[in-house]
Amino acid sequence: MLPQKCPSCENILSVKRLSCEKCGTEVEGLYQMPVLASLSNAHQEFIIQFIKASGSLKEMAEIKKLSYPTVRNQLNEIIDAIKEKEK
Amino acid sequence: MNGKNDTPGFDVLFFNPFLRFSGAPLLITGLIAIILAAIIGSFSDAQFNAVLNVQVIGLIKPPLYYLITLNILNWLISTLFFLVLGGILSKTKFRIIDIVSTQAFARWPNIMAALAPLIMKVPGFGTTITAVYIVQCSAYLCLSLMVALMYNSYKVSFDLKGGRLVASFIIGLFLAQTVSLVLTYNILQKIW
Repeated sequence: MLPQKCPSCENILSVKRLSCEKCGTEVEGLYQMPVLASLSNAHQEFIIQFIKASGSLKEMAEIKKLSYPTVRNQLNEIIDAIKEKEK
Repeated sequence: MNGKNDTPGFDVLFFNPFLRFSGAPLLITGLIAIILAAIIGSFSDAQFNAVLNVQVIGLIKPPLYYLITLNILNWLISTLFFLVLGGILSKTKFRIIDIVSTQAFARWPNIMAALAPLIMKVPGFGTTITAVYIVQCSAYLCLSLMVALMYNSYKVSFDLKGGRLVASFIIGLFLAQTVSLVLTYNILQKIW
């Protein structure tokens, strides 16, 4: 799992180094973590499923075996998390 | 949200079936439960004369259509108040069918509450203190379960949290109880 907060001061971490697994090239800099990547694993998984379901909450409810309002509330939770990250 | 395995277990579903079920199928099941409770009540002399009331009636037996009307009105009144309050307080989109169907299903414990007074018809036992005690205890248990279900119905349908949820639920329940009592004793009872 991608660490998001500094274990020492709890500040949001940035990406400093990226590397190519094939040739070993490394790119160094200071990149902000994308909002989607900074969400929890469960939230990211929900977003992927949601896109695969063509953005249909009804279909999501069927896939996850949950009621429509429960799935919609989960989406609200993610929206709140994204808004919080964008602040 | 726990990722792939979000399906709640039976213990969770007993008190909050609305995590798993909603919409038209739940509405139909709820309506069947509402009507069934009235039919059973017509045999056991149980009458639901307000949103949170169950009463074992005396010698004067009201007709079945009256008992069904009472049950349907109790459901509609509570739904209406929660719809208005939830509509005002909710910051998210909601579907009317969700509160209508979940409130209907939340009234299923009335079936058990209507069944309990049948033991008062058992010859030799029905008139004892024990029988009365059993009926009262089951009425309180059914009422508690129904309130828990109504609360979860309101919570799931409008995605409310914290103090807003608790305060508005209590207000809605109080208003629904008052209006249904007034309606039963001042209008409906005079009609039949």
